[in-house]
Amino acid sequence: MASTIYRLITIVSLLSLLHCAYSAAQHRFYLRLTEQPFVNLPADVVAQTVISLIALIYGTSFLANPFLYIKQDQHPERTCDEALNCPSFITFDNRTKAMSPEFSMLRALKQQQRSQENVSRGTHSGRVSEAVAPSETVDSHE
Amino acid sequence: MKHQVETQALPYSTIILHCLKYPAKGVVGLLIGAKKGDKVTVTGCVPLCHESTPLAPPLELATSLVHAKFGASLVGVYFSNAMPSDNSLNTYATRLADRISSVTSSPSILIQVMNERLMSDCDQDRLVAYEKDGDNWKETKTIFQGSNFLRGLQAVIQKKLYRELADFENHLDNPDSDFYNTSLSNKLVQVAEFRA
Amino acid sequence: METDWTQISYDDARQTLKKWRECGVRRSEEVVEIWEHVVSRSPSSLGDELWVVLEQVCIAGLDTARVDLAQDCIDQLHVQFPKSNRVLKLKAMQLEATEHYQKAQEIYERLVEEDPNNNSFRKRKVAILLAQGKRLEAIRAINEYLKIFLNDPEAWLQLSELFLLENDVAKAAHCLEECVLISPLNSMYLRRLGDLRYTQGGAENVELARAYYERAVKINPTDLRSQYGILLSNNLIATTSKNASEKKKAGVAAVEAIDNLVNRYQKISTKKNPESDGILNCLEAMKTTIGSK
Repeated sequence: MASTIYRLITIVSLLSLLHCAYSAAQHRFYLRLTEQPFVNLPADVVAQTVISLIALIYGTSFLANPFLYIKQDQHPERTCDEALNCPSFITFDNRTKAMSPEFSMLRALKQQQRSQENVSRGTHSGRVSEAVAPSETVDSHE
Repeated sequence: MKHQVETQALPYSTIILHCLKYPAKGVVGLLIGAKKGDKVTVTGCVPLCHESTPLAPPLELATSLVHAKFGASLVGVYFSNAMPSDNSLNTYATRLADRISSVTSSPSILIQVMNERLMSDCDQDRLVAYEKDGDNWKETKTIFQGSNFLRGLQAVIQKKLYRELADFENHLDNPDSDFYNTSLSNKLVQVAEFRA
Repeated sequence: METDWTQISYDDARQTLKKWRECGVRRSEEVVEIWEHVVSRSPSSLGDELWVVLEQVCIAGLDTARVDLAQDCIDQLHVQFPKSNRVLKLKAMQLEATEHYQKAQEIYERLVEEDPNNNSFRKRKVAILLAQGKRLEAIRAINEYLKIFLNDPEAWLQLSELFLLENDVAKAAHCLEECVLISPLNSMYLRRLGDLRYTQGGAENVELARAYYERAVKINPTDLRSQYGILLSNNLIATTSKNASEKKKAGVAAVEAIDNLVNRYQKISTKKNPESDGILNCLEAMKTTIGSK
């Protein structure tokens, strides 16, 4: 019901604007016939133009989609995984690695290293237990 | 009181699938089950978040929704840490478990997924259960399903069914996702021939 | 149902990889699948895009413990760009993945010296600390980094995550405030900040949380989490506030939020989500509880 009124206003104001354009053209034609210089459009044509323009804007603003804020989120469909991910800080120590057979050998070596450290800590107090041998084996494994 | 915790095949595999869907992140979820004497049987689970530090709003929301649906069957929390070598208890998970204890007015249990045991040839129980002893969480006995179940679990993982799992955070991003995973549960029972 | 990435068309695969590259989403297993089953059949059709795709696949390979695939990508990139620092960074990332942290550290320090304005090498140095579990040192390192590169929202986000792991919600919230300053129209940051303030608790923080949620809904009306956030914060204010008019206003706002949520859930078919009715019932029940207060 409401939208028919606005539709009516829009159509009427459009027709009125067309009418103003036609009147202005007619006025110039008349002036050319009577050999008068063109200075101003008659006041009634100007008034009709302004009023129908305002009415047109008013009508279309109700017919068009609802107003949106100018400042909107540019990516509304983004999920939390996308928005809160920090790809430059990615680390690779995750479950896939824990489950992969290649890395299980690495882990077994580390456990060996840890148990060696515990043994050496138990028997001697001052020995530095830097496990150089296991890491060399890992290098050659690649 | 020393509880024994038995996790049935369906929630067990759902928990593992949740861990595998997000291999680089910590996961947290709720446990549904029944308590009888000193035995707690976990019959279902609701995956919640895939971060090690879930914040209060989604946790409160999910807890109220799940509590409204399951009532006193809400028995505890499961979690897994992001780094496989980290076996510590996630403070956010323990806080959630304490909150569940107060909401259901009965002690809740905590289950941790041991990432280093997720390998297909590992025959240990991947889940470790804890119960509250005073102010601390002490490890308690779990009843393991056995190798038949592990075979079924492997079949499920091979089919990459973890891609169809939806947790509560997925639901908040897209409300079409069902975070109770009803259709996935049916598939799991089919593929792995679990006795539900 | 979920897409079978091994069966999609070449163009779809290319578009998907591009989308994931631009969003920065972490779907490494799927990237490897798409590469191995679809794109690698005809890599030359990618043209110049091949090199960025190789970089993407390399990182995805390292993330899924496929060191062989990563090595392959690095070899191809090395042949094309023999003196590139970007390829050297990938080699260092491979060393990180195989736990040779000391060697990776040396490469990054050399890269930082050569190109001090490139922030990615500094971030990788922090990543080494994170991989070794040295959270406090990582926090210190990111703070040092942020003194130089103040406008990096990713670093502020990472710092916020680290503070949360250390159970310091207040500092995590401060980091996220910096993110919001940098991108004020990012509704996810606002919503996350609202979550953090709500988690902190206390009357002031919950009111702040409510303000953040309302702003998030304003700039992104489809955000479900912010709607829920408005509901939760208004509910909490209505229950704990001592001021009667504030209580009433909060109650009304909470009921309005529930109405919006109910509208949203009613549009979901039960075929897609069989539990949506259950959630609707729950929301209606909440409405009656709040309305009766």
